[in-house]
Amino acid sequence: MANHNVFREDHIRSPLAHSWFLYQQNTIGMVALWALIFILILTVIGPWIAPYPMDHKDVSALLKAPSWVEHGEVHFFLGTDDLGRDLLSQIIYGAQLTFGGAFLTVFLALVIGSVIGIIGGMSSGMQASVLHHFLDTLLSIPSLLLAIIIISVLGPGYFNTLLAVFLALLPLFTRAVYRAVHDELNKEYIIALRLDGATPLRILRYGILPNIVETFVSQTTRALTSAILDITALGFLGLGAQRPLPEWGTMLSDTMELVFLAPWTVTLPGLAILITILIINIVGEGLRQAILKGMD
Amino acid sequence: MIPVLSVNKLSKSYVQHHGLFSKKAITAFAPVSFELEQGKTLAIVGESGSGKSSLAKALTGVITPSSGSICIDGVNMADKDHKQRCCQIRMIFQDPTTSLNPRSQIGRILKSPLLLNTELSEQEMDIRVSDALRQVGLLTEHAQFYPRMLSSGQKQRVALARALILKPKIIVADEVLATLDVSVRSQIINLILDVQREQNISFIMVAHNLGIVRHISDEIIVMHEGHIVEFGPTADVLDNPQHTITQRLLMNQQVQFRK
Ligand SMILES: Nc1ncnc2c1ncn2[C@@H]1O[C@H](COP(=O)(O)OP(=O)(O)O)[C@@H](O)[C@H]1O
Ligand SMILES: [Mg+2]
Repeated sequence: MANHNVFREDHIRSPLAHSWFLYQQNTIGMVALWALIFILILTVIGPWIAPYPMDHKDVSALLKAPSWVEHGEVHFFLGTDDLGRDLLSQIIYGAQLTFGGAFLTVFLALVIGSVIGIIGGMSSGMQASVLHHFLDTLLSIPSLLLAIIIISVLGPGYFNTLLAVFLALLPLFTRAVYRAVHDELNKEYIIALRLDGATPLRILRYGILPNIVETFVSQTTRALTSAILDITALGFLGLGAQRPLPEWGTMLSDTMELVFLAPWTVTLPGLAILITILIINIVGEGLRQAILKGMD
Repeated sequence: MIPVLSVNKLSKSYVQHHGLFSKKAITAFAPVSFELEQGKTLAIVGESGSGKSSLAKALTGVITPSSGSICIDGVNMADKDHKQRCCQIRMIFQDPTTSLNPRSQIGRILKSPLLLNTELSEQEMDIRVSDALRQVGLLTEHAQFYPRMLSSGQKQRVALARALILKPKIIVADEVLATLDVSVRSQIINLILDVQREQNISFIMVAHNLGIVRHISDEIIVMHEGHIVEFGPTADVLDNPQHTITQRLLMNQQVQFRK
């Protein structure tokens, strides 16, 4: 059949589909997205593909250099630390603890924070104003400090770290969503929807949510970055995950004294943290830009 | 003849909260009363801040009035919810770029009032939507478009279609012409006049340009600081203004024309 639509846009994309189309034109963004997917997969299947068990120590191979350096061996691809633990395996397991933990925490904070934020944003009067002032107070404390305060009450440990990071992130999401919903409610197209006789749920579904996707994306990016930094920082300070758990920050603090003797034991977990955060921010910023551009 | 709309001692004052406990009331408009007959157009003019938009919003239910009644065909609408109002009285906003949801297709924007207020089947709704689009001079295909793909004149046509689709008795338009350029403006004016003739709808137009007001309206309300200072047939009021405010408005615009 002949194609009559040569000169027309062959189908009309929704603004979000258009944003995705724009994002696909962004090469660096796409590379970073694939890298992020790779990290995600690694996080999920890590235990099955890591060359050695988590607590495997090879006393005959202490402080082996990475395989591409002289004296390096291929079956310890990234080298070993002072107890003969394979760094590649440690970093793969660590992805689950650092990235996976941050991901789950952010996801939970996103869901619960959004629900509170939406309820607060849709309601008005006393309730909303109390919530607003309460959140403002909480948010004036930096998240790491808040996490340290919570840890000092709960005691150190990996699970408590996640709990502390979750509690520190919750007001962040709540406030951002609250603000976005509140701003959105005063827009004329929402008023028009209300005049059509729409229920609050319908206004939320068709009016508000599609228009605050940008808030969700930028908040999730920021929260993921800050969650990873907080988890690793607490691990580094000895307040978070404890050895033998190979959390990236814990690994860093564990090998700090080896920095001259075996620099790779410090550099590699450090690089893992850096690259993960970089990738998250490239993807997040790219998505945000694409969503904003997709609007017009 | 029985008026379709009769407004009795309607007033609105905004309550502003300062801190947690102190509050202050700002009067947007003092108790006003007026009537409007079917198929007629009422223009509301006045300086900015005189309460025109607040009056328009109170009539359509965007804000709840502080006191008074709004009767449409003898039924008081002031205490009714949006669902009961919207089949009788509809609003068109000033700026079509902010009054259409950028994430919704035109078809869905137009369908939403039908979905919420009628028992029509999916097919009947589609027919109503394309009828409404054609009535305002757009194409059936525009239902698939998103607002960003339309010009501002086309968007204002969609806004008019949304107001018309429930076949209301009254349409309130708040400075709908102000953001449009001159050529589009006259198209929209003619469209409104056509629609009014076909369906015998009453219009309440908040307007700025007295030339247009004279052309389209049967009656006029002049507002100043929340009060109606003059109310009467448009031609009489504009040809023989009694109040200083009306005279001043006329003079301002004559100066503009001469320039
Ligand atoms: N949401 C609001 N809260 C408080 N005061 C308002 C609000 N909206 C309007 N006002 C006040 O009410 C008065 C009338 O405003 P408005 O109805 O917008 O006038 P107009 O449309 O004629 O310019 C103004 O003094 C304005 O400051
Ligand atoms: Mg106004």
